[in-house]
Order: sequence, then structure tokens, then C-alpha cells
Amino acid sequence: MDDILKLFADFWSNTGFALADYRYIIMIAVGLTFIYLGIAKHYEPLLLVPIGFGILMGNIPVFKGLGLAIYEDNSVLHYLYFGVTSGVYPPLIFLGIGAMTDFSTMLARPTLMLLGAAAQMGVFLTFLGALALGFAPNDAASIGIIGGADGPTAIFLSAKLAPDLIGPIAIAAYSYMALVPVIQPPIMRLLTTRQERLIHMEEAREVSKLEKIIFPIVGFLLCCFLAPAALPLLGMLFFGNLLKECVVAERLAQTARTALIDIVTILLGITVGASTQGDVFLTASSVGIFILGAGSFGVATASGVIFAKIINLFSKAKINPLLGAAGVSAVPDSARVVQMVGQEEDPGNFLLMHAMAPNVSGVIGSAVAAGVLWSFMN
Amino acid sequence: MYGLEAISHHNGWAISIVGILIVFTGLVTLSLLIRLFPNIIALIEGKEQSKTQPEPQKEHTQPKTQKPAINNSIKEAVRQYQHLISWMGEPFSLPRLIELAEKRGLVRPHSTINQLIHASVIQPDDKGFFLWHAR
Amino acid sequence: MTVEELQELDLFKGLSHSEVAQIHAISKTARVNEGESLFEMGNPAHTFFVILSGDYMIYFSDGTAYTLHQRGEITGWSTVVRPYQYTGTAVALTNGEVLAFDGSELLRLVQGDAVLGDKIMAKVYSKVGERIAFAQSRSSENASSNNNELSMEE
Repeated sequence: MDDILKLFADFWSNTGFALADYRYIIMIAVGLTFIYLGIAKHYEPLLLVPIGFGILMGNIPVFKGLGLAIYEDNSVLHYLYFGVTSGVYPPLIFLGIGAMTDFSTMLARPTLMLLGAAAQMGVFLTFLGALALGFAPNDAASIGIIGGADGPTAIFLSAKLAPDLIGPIAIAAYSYMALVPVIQPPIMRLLTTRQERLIHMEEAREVSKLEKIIFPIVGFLLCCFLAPAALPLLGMLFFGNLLKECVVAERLAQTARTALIDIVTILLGITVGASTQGDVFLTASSVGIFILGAGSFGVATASGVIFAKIINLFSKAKINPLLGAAGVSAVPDSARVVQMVGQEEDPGNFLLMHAMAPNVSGVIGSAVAAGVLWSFMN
Repeated sequence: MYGLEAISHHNGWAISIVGILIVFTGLVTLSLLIRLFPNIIALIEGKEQSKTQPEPQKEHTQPKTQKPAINNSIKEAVRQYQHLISWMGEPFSLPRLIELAEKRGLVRPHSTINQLIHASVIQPDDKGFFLWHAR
Repeated sequence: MTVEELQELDLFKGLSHSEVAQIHAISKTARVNEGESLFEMGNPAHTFFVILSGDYMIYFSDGTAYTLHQRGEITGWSTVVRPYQYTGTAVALTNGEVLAFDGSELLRLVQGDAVLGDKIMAKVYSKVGERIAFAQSRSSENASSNNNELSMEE
């Protein structure tokens, strides 16, 4: 009888109920919130649902040493997490993004690329803010890249510079990306006048097939010669785009932008979520990261809008300054936000396609910024 | 170490300024190269790009809404809905008419009202409400 | 529905066969019964519809409404136009058939082909431009509880 009772007691002591503490409960609530936002509210469901469920998986209290938790060397989740910590998954996602993105609006009006560059101010200003808050330079650089509004880039840089912060940085980056329709519009309205918001963009010129094929090759060579550390991300981005535009490799492009990106998104989402174990995630630095992350999106939005207004001072052909907000590279959500705010003033103002130009150049800009920061920190 | 002291200690200002300059330089250079693409392509192809003529748009005719002749079923519908319209007043709300018709137990109010619309017995007033034109 | 049949719709006239084929790949035909709702006011706008047959009414919380009877008419365009939630409720007045497009798939298509995206968006706005202003005025009126009359432009 004693043996039976002892066995039950041992079993109970190994259950999640016995091992749980308040931190796990908080994180489970966070995970459930993410799942709710993804399913019920349709906020970035392809990201929030895997991440949310990953948070649940990572916060089931388990007995250490059984090879179950993500931070234990021989656990399944740990093997899957390798793609995050080694920086493998983000370039594969960039391959898919390159294979699904049409750069022709950017090629038709290259000036709009500068708005994507301006929005990267958010990265460097957040970097300064993180240093000011006492973060080490490597950590500050990883936090700063949240301002690039690019989840894969943020995860890639964090994996290289601050692996301990991958969880909070990724959660912050993806959370704010999902909240772009909430964060950006007030800033855009504050920094622009009604007259400016009513500016109609000129119709873009037609871009030839040959230009679309030359661009990824030239873009890759130029950007990677300038910032070699951006090679894994930009190499895959431009490679994916070349597969798309050259047409002869359409089968590969199709796989890259469908099956491949979906598989990697699932694995990345669930493992990043699982990495946010309560005892690791709920720290003062995580709170700091979240605060800085929110600020970074705001600064990036403001930088893009203000830069567009500066361009208008010198340019005859006026740019609608709302397009500056699309330099925040949450593709295509920030472009859609620009469309939405522009339509508040004039329902006939079609800004979406024009906003795609700074939007996709912001992807390039944030990858270059990540490469620059990585090379400086090394 | 916190604040401006921390930034200076870790060379934050220099990193940020140089970093943003590099990003700008990269994208500005890329945009300038992109501007040259059409010229480069023209050189490669050795001829002017011809403008493509837009395809002539075929005129499409919208299918005419045929006004059904006022037949017995329409007359019956007019008779049934006349009372409701009198009670509601004009101009009236179409969804409200359907709601009341359902409550009164009128059969298939949606398709009946649709018939009345096609017969021009119910017509829009251009303000989102509707008018009754039964004779 | 075939690609050729889709090409005959006014919304897709002027597009090439390959462009319409891309659109065809993200569309689904759905049958609706009399009295059935296609979408409800206030819900997130995830699907937009092209009418293939049947008659439909779109109504708003203040009792105003308009009806659609023609093949090729569009509804549910809040998927691509602010506020990205349905501003009205669509009800089938008769049995019919609609072509449904998932909003996120459409956005992906637009992201992947700027020229096609531009053509589609321009066509959508040209078809529903007046109704956008009307519906948005209903939306803002309801939000601010304003009782002023607004005119609907034809």
C-alpha cells in the first residue's frame, strides 16, 4: 500500500500541476491571448497561432532532465529550435518572401525606396534607447532591429548576437507587427495635414520583364558588397525573387512561396513561442524590450513620414507622405494601413500599390541594417 | 551604466550615425542604378521600347432587367404588402419591411419583395430608403 | 466556373488569360439560398463576393439599403477598403450563386503582382466607388450617432 501511495506521490510530483508556478500561468494566458487574437480577430493568424500554441507548449511545466523542454539538449523541440538559434529559418523565410514579392512598383519609382531607408532610423534610435537603458551592445543591437518590423530579420540578428533574448525579441517583433494597424494611423495623422493626405500619386511607369530579372542580381551584388553580413538574408531574398521573375524556374518559386515558407513559418513560430518559458521570459529586460519595441515602431513610422515630407520640399512631383509609414517593413500590412488612412480623406485615392514600393524596400533596408549591426558588434 | 553615458561608452552615437548612413547609401545607390535600368536595357536591345496599345475594350451590354408583366402573383404581393407599407409610411426601410413581413407570417418575403422591385412597384429613393409605386 | 467564364465578367474584362487564371485559383463558387446572409455588419471582412446569379440586398444599421441584381456586381469589398470590417449585412433575396474571394489570398495576389493588383483594385473602385462613400458615411454616422441625412450618389 505504501508503495502504491509512493508511486502516486511521485507521479503527482512530476505533473504540471505540481511543478507549475505563477510565471507559467501568466505565459499560458499570453499564449491563449495570441491564439485568440489570431483566430477570432484575424491579427496575423499565420504567425500568432503557431507562436501562441508554441507558448503553451513551452510553458507546460516539465521535470527537467527528461529531454522534454526546449532548452534541454536532447529534446525534440530543441532540435527544431536549432533552425532558430543557428539562423537557418529566417533566410528560408526570406527566400519565400522574395519568391512572392513583386518589386515592380519600387522599380517604377525608385525615389520611394528612400522612405524604406528612412524608416530604418527606428532601428538605430531604438539601439540608442536600449544602450541608454543599460543593455549590453549586442543585446541593444538585437533589440534595435525590432524597429525594422521584420520578424525573420529580428530573429536572425538575435540568434547571432543575443541568443538569450530571441524569445522576447521575437514575441515583441511579431506582436507589434500584428498591431501595425493600431500603432501607425495616429502617428500618420499627427504628422500630416489633410492636404498632404489627399495627394494622389502619379501612375507608375510600366516595368519590363528584363528589369525585373536584372534587379535581384544587381540588388544582391550591391547590397552584399556594401554589407556582407547581410548575405544570408538578402542572398535568399533576391534569389527567391530571381526564381520568380525568371519564369523558367517557376516550379521552384512556387515551392518557395507556398510549401517551403509555410513549413518554416510553422517550425519557427512554434519553437519561438516555446522558447518563452515563464522563468526565462518574465524578466525586467523583457519589459524593457517590449517598451522599446513599441517605441521603435512609432519612431520608424514617424521617420518615414517625415522623410517623405522632406522629399516634397525639393521635389516637383509630390509624394503622399503617408507612404513613408509603409517603409516599416511589415509587408503588406503597413502598405494596407497607408491605403486605409489615405482613403479616410478620399475613397478614390489608391495608395496600396504605391505603398508597396517603400514597403518592400524596407525589407531590404532592415536586412542591410541587420548586417551592419552584426558586423559592428563583431 | 545608463543614459547618455552608456551610449557614449559603447560608441552608440558613431554606430548609429554610420549605420544609418550605410543603409541610406546602399538604398540610394540602388535606386540610382535602378533609374539606369531602362537606359541599360535600351542599349542592350538596341532599339526604342515601343509603347503597347491598349486593347480596345469591347462594349459590354448589361443584361437588361426585364420588368415582369404585372401578373397575378405580383398583384397578390401588392395586396399583401400594401397594408404593411401603409403602416410603415414612406419612404420605408427595406430590411424593416422584410422583418415585418416575416413577423406577419408572409410567405417567402425576400423573393416576393424582389419580385416587387423587379416590377418597379418598390423603387429606391436614392437615399437608401424605398418608395411604393403600386397603382 | 471556368477561367473563360470568369473572363466574361465585367470585373475581369481586359485582363489576360493568365491573369484571370491567377484570380480563378483563389476563387470559390458558393450557392446561397433565399434569406441567407453572405456577411454580417461589424464582422471582420475576410471575403468579397462577385454575384453570378440571384438578387441581393445590402442593408445598414440605420435601415438604409440597396439591392444588387446584375451578374458581375461586387459586394463585401470592405475586404480591400477601410474599415476592413463589413459595414452592412448582405442577404440573398433569391436563391443564387456567388464567387467568393478570400481577402488574404487576394492580398497575397496583389503583393505578388503589382500590375494585376493595380488593375483589380482600379476595377473594384470604379464599380463600387459611389457605394464606398455611401457605406462609409453610414459607418461613420452610426459611430458618431449623427442623425443628419446623407445623400447617396448614383
